[in-house]
Amino acid sequence: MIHDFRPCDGLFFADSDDEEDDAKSTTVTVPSQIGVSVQPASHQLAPPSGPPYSPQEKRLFFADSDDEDIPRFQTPRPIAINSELIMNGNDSESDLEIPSFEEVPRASSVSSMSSGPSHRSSSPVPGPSREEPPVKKRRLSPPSKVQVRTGPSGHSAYLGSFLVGNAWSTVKGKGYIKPGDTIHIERDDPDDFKSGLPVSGKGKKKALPVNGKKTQLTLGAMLKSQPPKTTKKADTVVRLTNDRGFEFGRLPQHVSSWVSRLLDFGIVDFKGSTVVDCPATLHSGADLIVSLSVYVRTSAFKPPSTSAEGAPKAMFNQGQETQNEQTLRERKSALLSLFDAVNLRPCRGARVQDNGNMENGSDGMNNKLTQHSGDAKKKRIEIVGDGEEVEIEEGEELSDSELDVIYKKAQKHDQSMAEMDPPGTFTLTLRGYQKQALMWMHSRESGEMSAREAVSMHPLWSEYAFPAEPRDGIIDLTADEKPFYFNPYSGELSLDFPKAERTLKGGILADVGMGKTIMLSALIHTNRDSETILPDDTSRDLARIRQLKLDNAFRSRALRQTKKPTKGPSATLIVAPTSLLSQWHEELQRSSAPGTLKVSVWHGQNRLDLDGIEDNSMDDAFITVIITSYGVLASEHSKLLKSGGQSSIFQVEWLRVILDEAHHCKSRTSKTARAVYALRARRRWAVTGTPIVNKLEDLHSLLQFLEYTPWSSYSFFRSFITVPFLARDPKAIEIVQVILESVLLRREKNMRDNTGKRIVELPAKEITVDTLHFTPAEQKIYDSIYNAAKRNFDQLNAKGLVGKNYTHILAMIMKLRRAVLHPDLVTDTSDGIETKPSGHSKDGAIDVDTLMNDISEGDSGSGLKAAYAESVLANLDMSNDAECPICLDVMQTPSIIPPCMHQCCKECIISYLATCTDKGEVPRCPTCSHGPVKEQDLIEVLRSSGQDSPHQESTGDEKEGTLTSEVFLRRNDFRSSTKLDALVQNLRRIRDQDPYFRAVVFSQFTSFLSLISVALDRERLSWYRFDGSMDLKKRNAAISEFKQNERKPKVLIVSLKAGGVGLNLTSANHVFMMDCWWNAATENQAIDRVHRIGQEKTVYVKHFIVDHTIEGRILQIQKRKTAIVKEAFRGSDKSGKADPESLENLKVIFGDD
Amino acid sequence: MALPKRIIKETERLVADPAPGITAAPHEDNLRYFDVTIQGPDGSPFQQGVFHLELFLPEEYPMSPPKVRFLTKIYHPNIDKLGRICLDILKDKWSPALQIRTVLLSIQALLSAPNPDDPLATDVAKHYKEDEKDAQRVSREWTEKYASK
Repeated sequence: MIHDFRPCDGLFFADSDDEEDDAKSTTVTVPSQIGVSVQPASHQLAPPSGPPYSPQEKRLFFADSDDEDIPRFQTPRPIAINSELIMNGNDSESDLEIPSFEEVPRASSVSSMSSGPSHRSSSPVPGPSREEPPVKKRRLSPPSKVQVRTGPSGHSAYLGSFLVGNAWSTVKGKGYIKPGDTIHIERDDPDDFKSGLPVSGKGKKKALPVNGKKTQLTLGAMLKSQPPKTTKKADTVVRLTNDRGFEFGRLPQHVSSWVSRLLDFGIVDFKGSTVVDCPATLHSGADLIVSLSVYVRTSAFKPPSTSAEGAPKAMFNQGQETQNEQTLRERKSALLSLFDAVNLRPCRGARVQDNGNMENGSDGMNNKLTQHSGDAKKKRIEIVGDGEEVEIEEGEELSDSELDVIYKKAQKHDQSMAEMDPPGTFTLTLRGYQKQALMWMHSRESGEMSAREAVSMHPLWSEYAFPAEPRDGIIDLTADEKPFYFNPYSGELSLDFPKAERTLKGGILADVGMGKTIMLSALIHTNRDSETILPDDTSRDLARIRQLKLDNAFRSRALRQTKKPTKGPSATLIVAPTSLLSQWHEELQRSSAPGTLKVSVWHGQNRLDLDGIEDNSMDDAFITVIITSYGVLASEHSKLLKSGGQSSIFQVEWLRVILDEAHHCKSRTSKTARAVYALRARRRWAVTGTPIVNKLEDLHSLLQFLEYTPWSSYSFFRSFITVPFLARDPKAIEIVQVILESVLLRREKNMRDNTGKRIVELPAKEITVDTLHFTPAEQKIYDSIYNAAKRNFDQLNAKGLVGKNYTHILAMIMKLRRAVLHPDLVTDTSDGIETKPSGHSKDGAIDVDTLMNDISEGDSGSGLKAAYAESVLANLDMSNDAECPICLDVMQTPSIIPPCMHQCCKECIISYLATCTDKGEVPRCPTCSHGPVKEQDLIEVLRSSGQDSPHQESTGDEKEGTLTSEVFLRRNDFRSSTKLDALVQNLRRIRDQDPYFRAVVFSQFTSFLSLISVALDRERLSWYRFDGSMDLKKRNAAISEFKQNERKPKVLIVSLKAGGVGLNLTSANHVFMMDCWWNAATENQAIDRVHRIGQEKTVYVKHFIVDHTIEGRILQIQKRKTAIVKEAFRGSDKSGKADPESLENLKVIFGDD
Repeated sequence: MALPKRIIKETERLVADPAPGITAAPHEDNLRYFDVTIQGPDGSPFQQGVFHLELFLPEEYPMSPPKVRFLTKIYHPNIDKLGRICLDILKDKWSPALQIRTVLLSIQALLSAPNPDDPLATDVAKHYKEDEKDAQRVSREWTEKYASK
């Protein structure tokens, strides 16, 4: 990050002829460093010694108004610099004048300035000024004599002086200046040149770095992407005017580049600057040596505007800086240049060591790293030069191991944390680690911090001492040195001591599968008292209240709030993904004593009631909790943004806002994120198992929500964390660790407490992978699709067009993946299902009488046959160990071949019929050669096992078609698949062992979920479905019905995407993964819905993989486990372009074995 | 290639409960290859003879029929001089419900009831049609000559 603002000498002269005269460019032959080196005397003026400091405990941010009277800055005493006197032998002191910069001088064209002496306009400021007739557009501040203590700008403090050895003249002739003369430093008025926006306050303006000249100095700017509109040239001209207001020269480019910024931003004044040396007769381009004395304005110590309101213009580009962010960066860079020029060194803090030859010394880092980042910087310039951000993003990916490192430190002390018991209104029993979390969250909310944190300086800030101002050439060493603080990373200046810990109340709860909901419920019960308005919050809150445009519904409430200023907010807002709303509701109710908590879901039609609920929150009788979804919040926010729109949820000030699955707003420019930032809350919690999904910047959004200054500022985060990380600077990770250590609690299920026991005792989890084999028919379908896809891919690959057809290829892969699951998912029609005779129940059951009728009709002549059929049917329930004539095994799923009623295993007969068809023979009964036999005519015999058949409880319509309570028949009119069969077989087996089992089946394909549900119907298993297409009510119903305690087996079929996170399904202990996802983490998260706190049984997980298919390849890719893989496939919408890594993955998929 | 359960079961049953007059034992190195003997049925020209056959279960078994061949020379209209057998269940009438045992019993039955109308060895069939007695004599001679115990 340091290199951002280091002027790059090498590039300096490359194209500096842009705005200056040609004559000038030849004179500038010294690198900027020499400008520093020719001022040995000035070094003595900046005392870096460390006398005692008196840190200011109270913030001294000055309001913009000039009438503030701060003694310390009231009396600048600019005088000639000692060294200059020595050098010049001139007694110039009495001539010194202080220009003031209440207003940034207006610009005038170069030609007008060099046209000769001109007159100054009248001055708006008081002071002994000599009025001169105005000339052209010029409007200059009047010179003021040394005796004038304060400039019109109010207050400024001496920072130091420095020599500029190669300022140059723009005029020709004698009499403009002589050595020792006081000079003024002026900027053109931004309005003349700029389209840039004035940021705030006077004299600040937005400058866009555009042309080469500008970028020389703010190389850091090049590291960022340029704002899209860069038509105007950057103006960095800093003019030197004499006492009479005539411009006679300019500062050289390498100085003016940052001086111009300082002036534009209203950070400094130059007073008492003098000419040290100049030729007697000036000519254009003549070398001037000038000494500049720098006074920092008090307004500079106000926090720079870092408002999040700076609406990101580039929604398409995450990495794009907003205008504000760029301003901050330029300010920071200019300040660093200044400190370097006046040789001001921090007394302590981030950059204490002196590292002389580095312009902006990366003192806090070790040299090796600095060097390293320097290299990386160049690379980055090339990349950014195209204005492309894509490649930058790539490097920001974090590998899993890096993530581990990041979390490790935050987890270090967790096992020894103190515990805390929840109050009586919380009815559940907390485990030890949950009590620890409660203690931690409580202390974070109540603001109790360790003493150490309170006194230590913020790691990124440095303390500087105001240099004593030389008076009459003598430095008064007895004067008290006043410290000020500078953050070299954000460019912030402060007179306040920057404490390491800010006023953040809240944090990130990143426990993985530990019962976060319960912990937060306990927190809501524990810290239920409404906060009184804190002193330092008051002004802000009142200001906000004043700003609020209240509609009628809310006016009353707001009035009440102002009437009772001691009564703070008490309600908690929980924002969660839609699928988890009811789970939150239930868990909160479950954990609360009756009547202590009032929970409302603010979603759909209920939204209208919010104001009423808010009214109730004024009651102390119970705690109010509102639960809403990200989607609702985002739409409410966009409603709010519309002119005149309003949304109650953003007007309420919440005691506490909890973001569940907070990574939903990881993108700081997304609507969701901006809505979340707009919430008003005293305490903020982000709850997520993945605070960093795959980029460090994911974390930034959470920090911004938490208002965890300074990290909440994007420019800060980017320059201090993202950019160094991209430069492979290990410091970046360290800093993230420090941040996380202070705001994040993360425990994992397998962590152990201080006694060595696992903090969570979960039952075992047995994962098995069932490798299945296609039936020949399935194999044929799959092969044909695969071959077509492979041919397609090979052709594209040969032409090098894979990248362009990336989405097309992904679509082919999707088709393959569906083909693995079930042929019907890729074929348009299915002959089997269409022939389903009418009058059948959905599970395909048929009744015996119908069957007998069919048989008698078919073979009216042979009573023998009918008799046999009758005996077969009569014996079905007894002969459950009959042998299949084909496999000679006991029939698992006997199938009757009508009308001869011979039986075989279903698999055997289907396979035989297929063989016959293949050979062109008529499919016949293997036993009696009766034919032809159609697959869908087969009748399956199903037996439910066990004495207490679950079907005895079943409803009436299911009884229809059952032969006895234990055996029923169904037509084989449903085309199954290898995977479905495997699932069904497994479920049967489980049912044999546990008649009331609960199983969860995951698949990514909702169409496959539908087929699964048909298969389950046929097995007469009760199933419940949960997928993204269902509305909230249906989802809730599905989950609660599944969880309901009933004496029958239940299966929940869940879409991986909709139900992979958040759901609590501990009532089940069997998990089936029907297909595999590109990364194992997603699968594991899905499994953790079942294997989590509250699970009491061993969890059995079964993955079904069909051998020699794309699934094996996916597993292969899964094993490679690179972070790229995740992104490559998850983000297929990302500009549709493929990166090299995903191309490799495609080759894995289509490669030969 | 693992042996299908069905083959194992059949083999076990052939060994444990052999059909009368028939033996079948798999080769140790190839469990799909069986050495088979069939006793000539009483009342047939092949009485007293013990005929050696080989039986092979192809990969597709039981979806495809086993391959069976006489190793012992036999004078029979449906069995050629290479030992090949003309029997419908070994061809298009095969059904997976049939087994090794049923196949061998069918062959044994074929010895009792030659079918010269569906010949494989045409000269033998002609002989049987024109002069059955003489043909049976030749069969008996061959049995004595080639299939004596």
